[in-house]
Amino acid sequence: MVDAAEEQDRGALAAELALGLLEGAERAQALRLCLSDPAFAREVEGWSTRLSPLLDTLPPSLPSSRVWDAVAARVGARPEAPSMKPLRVWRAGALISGAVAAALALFIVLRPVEPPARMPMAVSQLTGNGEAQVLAVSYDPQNGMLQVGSLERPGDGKRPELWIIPQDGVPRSLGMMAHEGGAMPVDPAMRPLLAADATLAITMEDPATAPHAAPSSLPVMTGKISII
Amino acid sequence: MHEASSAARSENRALLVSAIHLAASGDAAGLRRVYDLTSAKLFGICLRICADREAAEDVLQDVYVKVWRRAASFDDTRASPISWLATIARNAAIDWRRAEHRYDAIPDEAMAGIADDAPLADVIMEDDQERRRLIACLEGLPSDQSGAIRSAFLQGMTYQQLAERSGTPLGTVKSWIRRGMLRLKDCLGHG
Repeated sequence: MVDAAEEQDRGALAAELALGLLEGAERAQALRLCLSDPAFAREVEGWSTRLSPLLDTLPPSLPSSRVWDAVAARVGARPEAPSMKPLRVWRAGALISGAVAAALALFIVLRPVEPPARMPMAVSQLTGNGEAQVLAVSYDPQNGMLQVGSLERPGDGKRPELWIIPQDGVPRSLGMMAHEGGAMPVDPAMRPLLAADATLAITMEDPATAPHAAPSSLPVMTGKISII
Repeated sequence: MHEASSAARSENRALLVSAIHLAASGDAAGLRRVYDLTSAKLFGICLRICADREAAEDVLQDVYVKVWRRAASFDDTRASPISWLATIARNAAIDWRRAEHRYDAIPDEAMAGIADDAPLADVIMEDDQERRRLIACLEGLPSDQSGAIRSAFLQGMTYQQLAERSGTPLGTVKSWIRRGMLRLKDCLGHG
């Protein structure tokens, strides 16, 4: 038998839990009560429903594309690009084997407020066959521009395509690169992916069909992003 | 114009309900559709409560995984799809705040959004009649009470934070909330 005062306390507790006011032990206790007492749980739900129209007053905001990619990976969905599986293989082959042709170094240059001096950037790593090929890339988050160095031009009509591979392991194209290098604007949706510990990679792709949902070959260069 | 927008709203609602049902059947394309229709709205909620973009994105990720798992339990006769989703998002964000022990203050601009009851640009809105009624009931409360309720609900503040922010004893804040919630329930007339 629940007396009136206790019932009132329970009602208040349900409202407090629904508002999110409780913390620590009180919160844990109220959450346990939700599991053990369906009437209490309904009361909490009733409050959430009553107040939920308030949530409509918050301004919407666009999350970055990494959110869906991670959700898709967790629920086992294939995202638009039917590419998860080949990419896993691609990535394992590219990043684990010693056959990676060269290392690509990328530094995110965080421009100091003043003076606007750029920091130097360079890194090198030998290729598998002993031939050093190094490409320096810098990124300025202020204007979303990548600066890339020049690359050797292969004779087969293919062109380098730059990929960003965040923690979820799925490459996203940042676009085709010019052999002679230069400035490359980054799509605003991709900018949040250019973070420390993400991997950059370059594959040689057919420019006629660019941009690509997924790379068609092993990368010729890869490198981790470092922020300096 | 009002009729047209309410027709669009119910069409959106039907779209969203069918997307949730599709997800409930195990088809990830349904979840993707739910995501496309609601991610900006739900991210807005996570962002406000977490007050940290990266954390809000992590929470949002968990929200859609929860939606995927719970889609089969969604009952469109009991709750509107957007308020079901918004509640999952808000609860997940509150869970994150309580787990992270993030007690740092959040800017007060949440209030600005509430005072302005002009329709927002988002395509999926709750039937605004319900929202207007809630806002009218909140406005009928003493401002201490309604302010405390709004800050708790929309900013994820705890009793302690509310007390510190308003420079008021904890017991007083508790009684604002309790009285306010009782009056709100009466005003809304939901039993």
